[in-house]
Amino acid sequence: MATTSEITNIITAQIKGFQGHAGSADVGTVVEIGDGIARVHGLAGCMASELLDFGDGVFGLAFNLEEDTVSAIVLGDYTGIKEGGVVRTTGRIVETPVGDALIGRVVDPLGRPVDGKGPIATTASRPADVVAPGVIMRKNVDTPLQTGIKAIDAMIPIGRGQRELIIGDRQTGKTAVAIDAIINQKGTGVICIYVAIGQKESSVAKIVATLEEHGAMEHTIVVIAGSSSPATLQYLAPFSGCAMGEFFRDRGGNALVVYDDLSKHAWAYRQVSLLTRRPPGREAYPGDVFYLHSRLLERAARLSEENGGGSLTALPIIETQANDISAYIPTNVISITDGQIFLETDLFNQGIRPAINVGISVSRVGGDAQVKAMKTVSGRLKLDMAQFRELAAFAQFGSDLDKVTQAQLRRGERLTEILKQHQYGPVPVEKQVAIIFAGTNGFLDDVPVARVRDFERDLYRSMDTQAQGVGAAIKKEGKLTPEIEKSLRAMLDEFKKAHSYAAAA
Amino acid sequence: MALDGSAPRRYAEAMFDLAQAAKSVEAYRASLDRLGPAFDAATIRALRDPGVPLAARRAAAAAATASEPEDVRSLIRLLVERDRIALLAGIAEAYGRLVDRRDGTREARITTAVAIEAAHRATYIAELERKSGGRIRATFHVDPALLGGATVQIGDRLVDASLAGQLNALRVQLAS
Repeated sequence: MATTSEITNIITAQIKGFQGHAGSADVGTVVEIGDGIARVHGLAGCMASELLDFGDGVFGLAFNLEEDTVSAIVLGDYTGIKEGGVVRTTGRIVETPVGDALIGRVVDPLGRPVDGKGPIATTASRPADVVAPGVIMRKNVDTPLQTGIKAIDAMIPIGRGQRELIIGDRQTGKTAVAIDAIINQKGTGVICIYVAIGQKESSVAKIVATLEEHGAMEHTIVVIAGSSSPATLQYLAPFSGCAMGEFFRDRGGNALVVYDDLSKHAWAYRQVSLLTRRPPGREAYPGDVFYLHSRLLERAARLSEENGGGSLTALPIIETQANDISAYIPTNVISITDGQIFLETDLFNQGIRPAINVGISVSRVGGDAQVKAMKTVSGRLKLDMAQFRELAAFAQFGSDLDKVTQAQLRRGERLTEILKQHQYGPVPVEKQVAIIFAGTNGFLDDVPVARVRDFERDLYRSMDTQAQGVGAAIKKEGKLTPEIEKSLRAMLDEFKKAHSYAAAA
Repeated sequence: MALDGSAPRRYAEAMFDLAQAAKSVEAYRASLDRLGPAFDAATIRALRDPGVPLAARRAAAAAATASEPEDVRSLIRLLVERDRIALLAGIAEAYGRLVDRRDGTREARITTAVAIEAAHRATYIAELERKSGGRIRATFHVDPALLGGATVQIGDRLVDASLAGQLNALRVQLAS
């Protein structure tokens, strides 16, 4: 803590060293202001996307350059701006503070803290909207990003540097999946950035509290532009969040950024675009809304070793209306991303949580990044589940099924059961391998469906206590060698001898 | 500075072409600069009043501009007929800009904390012309809020050499 005299000294030094010289800038006059949009006359030398100074610490972004005027979107409170006010160019573009000091903080899209924990001690900053790394700088996705969710890690694996869309109706657990993924990054060195766009402040407060409760704020930055924030800040939020993540990526670290959600981001962009009189296109979105999202998501990347080998993984979220994935924004983002996780209301109501529809969810690049052991067991899981889905619809019509079909149905029911998972309960990869191995190799076939989750719970407990060796071996080797498979079988046999689930409790 | 769109500029360009053909660019400018402020809001309203027959309005406008160049009078008549007489001030301004651009003259707005004498003004302008490498037409303004020094705005470029500007820069530096 600096004493008063120290502060006085610092100020004295600054005043002494102050070099007063004539500043020069392009100026313009505000001719119209409202809805967060300012029309400025003059500013002949203004550049596209340049930061404009409206005075009193209010800044704007040059959005449209027209013949006589510049349309600017005001970042922050525009109520102090008056018609006739002077606007200056700054020669800069929008920047956001970045650095380690942001970790554990809740900030707005301009990097100003909103969590009441004092100022953020960082001097580094990065432009919010930059061009994504090119082909030469990149490398293919080859390291898994474990979400701790069995259904995802087994069947829709995500790799570091991937863009995986989470899509579904409201109240299907989209955010829950992302939050679980963030919680599971604890201790892995992956810095998470959660960008809340247009969400209720109360929901965000709850998410921050949840993350704190699970110790996940220690590796997380929350960027918030709530529903009461101006659309301009909501538009900027994902770009700032991405810039914060790029800081870690470019220094060779790993980061995960969650955009929750991009539908609202598209709405905010539509609002500012319509207000600045850009022509509306389909669903009144401007023509470049596809490019808006593609340039944002393209910044998620796995860099090559020469460039530090860092990664930025993106988990954009899209909310659909009544499962309509053929609406404009969902189709756009589906086509941009490297796969999607579909969440469905029907499954959610059937008690399948996370409500992931594993049939239509895909991961286009994550397979290469999957842990070998998981790849071995999940291949069988995918096959069994696919057969089960085919038969389940068909089996509803009759009960006199042959033995093989019944066995397949029985297997499928149990596999469905083991893919269920509690919220905030990420499962480490070795346990995931063990339970899926048990499921696909028939160890669960004689366990009643209702008791499968008890079996799972007890198995994990036993792996933590009596049979630590097997888990450790899977984790160390990363693949199922014949010896590990043998010991895994032995452990499961042993476990089944010790526990009985025959009768429903 | 009005945002009337491009209409005043179109009329001004047409006038400029006519003026160049008639070799009376400066005369038209003087005439338009006279008429621009003369057609104030009340006059414009009267000239647009649909209760008065168009012929009468046209005659009134013609009578009022009897001493102006022929092309300017035609412009006024055209504007009255097309109900665009409100654009006149904008046309005068745009015409002035076209002439300035042809001559390489630039408008400078010099604001000082205290009024400066005519002798000093000439030095100011000469210095500005030397610096910017073009002719300068300066308007002088006084704003005590500057405290000292001056600000010079040429076109959209503002050079702030005022005490208030420096104090503000110091404030920003201290606050950051």
